[in-house]
Amino acid sequence: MSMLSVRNVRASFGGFLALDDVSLELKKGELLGLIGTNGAGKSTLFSVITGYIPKRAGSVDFLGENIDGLSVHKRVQRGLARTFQVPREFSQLTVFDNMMTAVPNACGELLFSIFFQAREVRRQQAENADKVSELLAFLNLSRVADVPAGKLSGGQKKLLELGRLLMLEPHCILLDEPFAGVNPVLIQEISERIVALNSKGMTVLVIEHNLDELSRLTPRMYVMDRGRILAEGAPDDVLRREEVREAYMGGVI
Amino acid sequence: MDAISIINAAINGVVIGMLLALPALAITMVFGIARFPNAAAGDSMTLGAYCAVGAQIFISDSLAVGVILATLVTAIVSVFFYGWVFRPLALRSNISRLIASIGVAFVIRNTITFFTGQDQYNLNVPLVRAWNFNGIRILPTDMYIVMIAMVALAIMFYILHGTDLGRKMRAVADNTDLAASSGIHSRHVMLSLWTISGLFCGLGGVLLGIKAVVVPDLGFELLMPMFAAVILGGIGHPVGAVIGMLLFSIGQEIASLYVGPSYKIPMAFVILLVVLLVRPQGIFGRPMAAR
Amino acid sequence: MEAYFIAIAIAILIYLLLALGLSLHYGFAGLVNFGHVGFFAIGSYTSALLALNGVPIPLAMLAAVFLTAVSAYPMGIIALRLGSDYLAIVTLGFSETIRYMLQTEEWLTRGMHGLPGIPRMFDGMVPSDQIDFWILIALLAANAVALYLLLKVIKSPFGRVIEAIRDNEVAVRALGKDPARFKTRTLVLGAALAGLAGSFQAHYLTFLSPDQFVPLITFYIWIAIFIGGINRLSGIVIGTIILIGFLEGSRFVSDMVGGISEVQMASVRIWIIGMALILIVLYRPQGILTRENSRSKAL
Repeated sequence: MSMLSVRNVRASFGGFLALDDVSLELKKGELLGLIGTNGAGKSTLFSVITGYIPKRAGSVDFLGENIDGLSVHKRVQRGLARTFQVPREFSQLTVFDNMMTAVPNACGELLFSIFFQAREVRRQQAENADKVSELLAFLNLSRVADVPAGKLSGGQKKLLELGRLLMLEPHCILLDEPFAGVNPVLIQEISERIVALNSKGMTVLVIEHNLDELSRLTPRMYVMDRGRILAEGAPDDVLRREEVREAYMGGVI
Repeated sequence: MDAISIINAAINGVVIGMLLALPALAITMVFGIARFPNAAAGDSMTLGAYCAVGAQIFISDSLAVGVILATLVTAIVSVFFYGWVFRPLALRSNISRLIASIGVAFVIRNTITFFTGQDQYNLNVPLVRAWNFNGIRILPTDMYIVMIAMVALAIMFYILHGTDLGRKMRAVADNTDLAASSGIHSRHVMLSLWTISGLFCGLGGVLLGIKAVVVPDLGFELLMPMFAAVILGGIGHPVGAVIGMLLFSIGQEIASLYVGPSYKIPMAFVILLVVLLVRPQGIFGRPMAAR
Repeated sequence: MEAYFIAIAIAILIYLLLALGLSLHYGFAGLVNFGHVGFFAIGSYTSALLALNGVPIPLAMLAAVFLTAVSAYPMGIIALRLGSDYLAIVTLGFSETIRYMLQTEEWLTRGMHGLPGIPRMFDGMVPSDQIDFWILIALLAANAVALYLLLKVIKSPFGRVIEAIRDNEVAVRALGKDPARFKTRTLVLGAALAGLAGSFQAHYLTFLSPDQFVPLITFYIWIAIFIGGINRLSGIVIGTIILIGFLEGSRFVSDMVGGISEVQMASVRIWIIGMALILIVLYRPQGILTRENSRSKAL
């Protein structure tokens, strides 16, 4: 069944046509890759899908329903979550607090509950704290739980972003260049976590620059170039195609 | 209300709009280049008005002397505060400059009132009879005001479009890429900006003093209408500021036939809200979120 | 003598409620509110008008707090889609519009004539020479409750989201939370405190006029929170005390120093406030009573 259905999307960004008639299908439970040269429009596509940038034409359906009019946070509430190319951790909060902030619909976020339901708020906090500890262990971040997130390494920040995402218990996660700027050891860790999540049924769409890593990771991928989808299929197939090799001949992968 | 009253109100609106267009122009340029709404613009106007009054009392009855003295003083004061306050704050947030400009406004206003008290003053203007065309009244002094304002605006637009400096200023003011310009620009541009800002606020203040009673709150009361006009016209757009101010003043003068003179405050507030919610870039600005 | 100190203490405590509200807005949530005096005015006039029409004072005050909080709600919805400098201008316009309406809607507020004869708190309940003392006690209680509630809010998950919004608003959205909702609620809570301050003002002074609600008051409060360190609650208490001390003390100076009249002293006072704003922003934007490298994002 379809998780994400992007059809004929056109979008302008900074005055030029960033996405030109782009279509993409993400199936439930899939681990899908999206690769392309610099400026191909990958992040723009993410931003259109998640609602950060408006599109000029086309449609985006999530879990069979059109989400075109929805604001960013409403899309996330429906279960569509993303990470960012440059990590957006809450630098002044500890890793632990970063995770706790992600809890959806905590009753402690309601002023009424804070004033009149203190015990319930405390109980929920304890419950969430347990969940956070579990996830931090899964991500191998337990050691740095009390460190301000701004002090983490690039790779650790990416893991933290992933962790925050998982607190949301989303249906589908979009990872924007999870390996960029990360040292090889952590790339391995991140890769393993992604595979582990997917094997448990999480639907994942990954943008990457790093051709090698992505080919190893995703059984199917789309290739983008200058705002259009060039090709789609298994990594081996796709990378053998004429048009793809041409696009990459001068381009940076 | 009959047509004559409305036309007279509209004429009054044009006159006031033209003279307020000068400080409005200053506000929009500062907003566009130094990237903050200058809350001291109003009190710079007040300073100009009081200087003209002072010149009349102590130096000469001639308004020309008053204008020269007033604009000189306001230009110097403006550059002074740029050098001492706004330039060091160039790399900081817009809010820091805004708050500082509130402080500057208080300082200017209360320096004046320390010496003048809360009394009201008047500029001695030669009494002339209004021209009357079937009930439509036009005051010669108003004509002079409009002419002076137009000359000032013409000079300003020549600078903006016909000189290198002006082109640079326009380019910077028009640049909605906030990352690129945070108030750090060539010394030449900034000094010119603040000199012009001071000159125009001062001149606007004197012209206003010809029409209205000179009181300490003269300029501060007009801040909201001027901000509204500037945002209506599009921040950083000189033409927008002038047109915005004219539209606002004409609208306000006509409205005051029905609702009362100080209606300009809620009117400015409503226009502000509507523009920011519906079309934040104003009439002439390029589409950008008001965030 | 004692009566004088009680009066000063009352002034401090009313301003403290205002300062706590503004600190919530700016120090806590980073909202630049230049219209705080507008909420003060709504609280004052609402409580006064209700009491003048027979409503018992406690009920009138409750209604005033509620109405002030509600008035902040549309402000929030509208203004929070705007950036800081626009929010500042809009909030200033808001408080000036309120003041304009207080001046012109004479059928309701008696305009510039002012509203006299407002029922006094505790009138008839205690000997009249003890009323001020009991108002002081009531204000102490109100401030204690306010401080307690604020601390709870700051340390709660709500407080954490606000901190996160200041840190990285885009990321908060990416977590499925609407920053505007949190900012609006903060605005409402701070406004409620200002409304409470206003209702105390009404039933203490027993006379209100639009002149009491000029933008200058808003910036007095800004100075108080700047002195205190913007979001340090203990600092804000001290900041408010220093502010009132300055405002009161300056009255003595004009008496003692021969050549300056009362009116001129008023100018000097505001001149100093203006200078303080400039100097604080230039040299000490994180506030005066804070450690050098404070966590709060300085201006």
